[in-house]
Amino acid sequence: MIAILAEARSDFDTLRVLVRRIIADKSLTIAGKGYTSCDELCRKGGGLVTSFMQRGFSRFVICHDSDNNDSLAIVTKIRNAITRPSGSCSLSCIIVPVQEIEAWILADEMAVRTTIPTFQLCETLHPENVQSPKEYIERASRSGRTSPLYSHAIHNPKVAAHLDIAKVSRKCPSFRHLVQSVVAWRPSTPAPVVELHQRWGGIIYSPDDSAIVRAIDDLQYPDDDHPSCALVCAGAYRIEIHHKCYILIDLQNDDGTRVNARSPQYELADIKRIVIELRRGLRASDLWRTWEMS
Amino acid sequence: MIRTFSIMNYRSCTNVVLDLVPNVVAIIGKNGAGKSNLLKGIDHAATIASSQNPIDLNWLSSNNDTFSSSMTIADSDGEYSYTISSILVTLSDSSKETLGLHERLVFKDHAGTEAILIHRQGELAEFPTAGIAIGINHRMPAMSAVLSMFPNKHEQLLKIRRVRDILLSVQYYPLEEPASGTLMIPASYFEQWANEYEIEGNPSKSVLLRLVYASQRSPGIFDEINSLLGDNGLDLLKSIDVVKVELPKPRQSQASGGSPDTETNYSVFFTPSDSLAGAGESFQFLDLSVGTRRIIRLITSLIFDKRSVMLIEQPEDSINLSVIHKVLSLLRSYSQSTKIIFSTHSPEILDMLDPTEIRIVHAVNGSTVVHSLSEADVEHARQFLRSDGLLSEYIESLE
Repeated sequence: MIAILAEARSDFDTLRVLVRRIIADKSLTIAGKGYTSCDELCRKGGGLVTSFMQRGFSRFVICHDSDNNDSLAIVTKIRNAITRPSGSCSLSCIIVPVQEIEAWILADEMAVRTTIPTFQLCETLHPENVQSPKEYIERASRSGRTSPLYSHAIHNPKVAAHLDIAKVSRKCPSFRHLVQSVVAWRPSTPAPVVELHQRWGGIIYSPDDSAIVRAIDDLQYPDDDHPSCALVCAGAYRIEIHHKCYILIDLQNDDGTRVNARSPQYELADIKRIVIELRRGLRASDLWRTWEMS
Repeated sequence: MIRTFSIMNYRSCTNVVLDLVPNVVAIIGKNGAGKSNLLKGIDHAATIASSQNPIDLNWLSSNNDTFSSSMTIADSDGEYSYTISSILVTLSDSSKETLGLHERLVFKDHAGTEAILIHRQGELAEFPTAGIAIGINHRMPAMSAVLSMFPNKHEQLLKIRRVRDILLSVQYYPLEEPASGTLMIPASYFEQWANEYEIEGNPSKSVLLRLVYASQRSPGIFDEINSLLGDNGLDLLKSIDVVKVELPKPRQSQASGGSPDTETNYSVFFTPSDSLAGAGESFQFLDLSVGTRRIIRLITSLIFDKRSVMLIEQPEDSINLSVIHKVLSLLRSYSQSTKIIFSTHSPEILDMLDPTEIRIVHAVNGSTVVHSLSEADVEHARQFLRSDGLLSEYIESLE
């Protein structure tokens, strides 16, 4: 069961449609809440996640617009306010649309046209560069005198049902993170790392630590055909395994800064241990120390 | 768009000043404080000012005192200030009588240059910029009077027409349910009404009549209403279908001549969305739920009527919270061209608004008093929202 927490009700409605499409499981329970502001999300989200966990929910999507702010700082804010107090760090996918979730809508003008045939929205190559995509779309609708006018609360979820997932993933990294995280939650997601590797073009994403630990048992060492691969867990840390060279660990500290560490040698047991430690709530700085010691 | 409004001696509004700068304005306050009187007062003043017929002067003030109303209206050229008041005299027996109207319309361009467009005292009306001074009926508002006398779009009168049309397009929507309704609309009745509507431009209050008109003569509007209520909109209705039905004429009509024994009637059927109860079946308007009817009424009014100002009574009534959230967002989308002023008791709706969009109504010594949040209040409200609360909680704490 997946719970979605968003800063606005329309964002929740939109994410519910998208997560349902990406997870490709119509029977899966998807619940959640859209708050009235990001402040309310941060203030009340932790309690709601705890409640959801008590009710058996095991996956969480938490969405907070970047709104001109640094995305990593927002991830840290969400982690401190919601996932860490509720103990759901490893179960949560924190999504920070740049600037707003409407950037995803803007990324696929054809989906908008399908929803409102009179709305000939122009293609936007880099929707995350648009300062206020919500205002941009609604202004374009008004100036184009579309019928009906675009209204985000009504039309975002409708457009979400038609979005070209691959196209939006290419244009919006924040959306790609959602896709990669939710795909990894699919029960049918193949466990062998190499298959994932091939699917994601050299990088393996999974917010599910236990799945990664299981996958490590089946891990094939990088070889000439698969020169590198990486494991990404919950968006907060990343472990890359490079061909016969080193492991690169990329972590985010509590203050939002990132730490990189390389090891000249590695064993799969090292990776498994690190993942298990991270799952227990090990902080980036501590892990770095652990790594150095090992 | 109307930006400020004041009214004196209309029902409980003995002296009310209202800031209407935001495109969406919510009127809140306890029952009986005067929210409806305020909405009706705006409608009343706009109706009088833009009336195309002589008005009943006794109708101006409900408490037999000097009625007065002022408003400022902004457009791309500048700002208009319009004032109308009654000329009241006390007779020898101490009774009062309204003898006529005083009106003044001033235009100020962006450079701050003012021009008096109308100066009217009783039966003498001057239109200085147009170089016109005429005698008009003491009960006839000046704007429509001069526009009816000089209908050939005198260049200097275009501004007056613009203001008159904006005020003519202000409408109060109680969204009340009629006790009963006609579900069949005779084609002859529809044609007569439609022709009048196309000349006078005043839509019917009947939602069915408007839907029939849209389907028959304005398919773009019909499609827009269908889209907003349908699968790609609020997801309430799968379709609205206007069908023609041949019915026997009443006996009296049959006896009057050799015309056919049947006449064409229009009927409107509503098919609920696939996800709702009754999916796959079609219903007549009165068979729908109260909330669904209110939403249809609201959306039809918004899209069909294309008002400059919609004055709406408690849009949340009988409507589910998740739907009203979308309806409010929808109203906001259209608020660039239609200013939305509504009364509400819903904390959830308050939480969707900005502090600057709130107007609080109180009753003081029997009179209605309205105020916006002060700049300090707005800042405190924003701090409250950032830290620990909802706008509805903040507003409650003010009372």
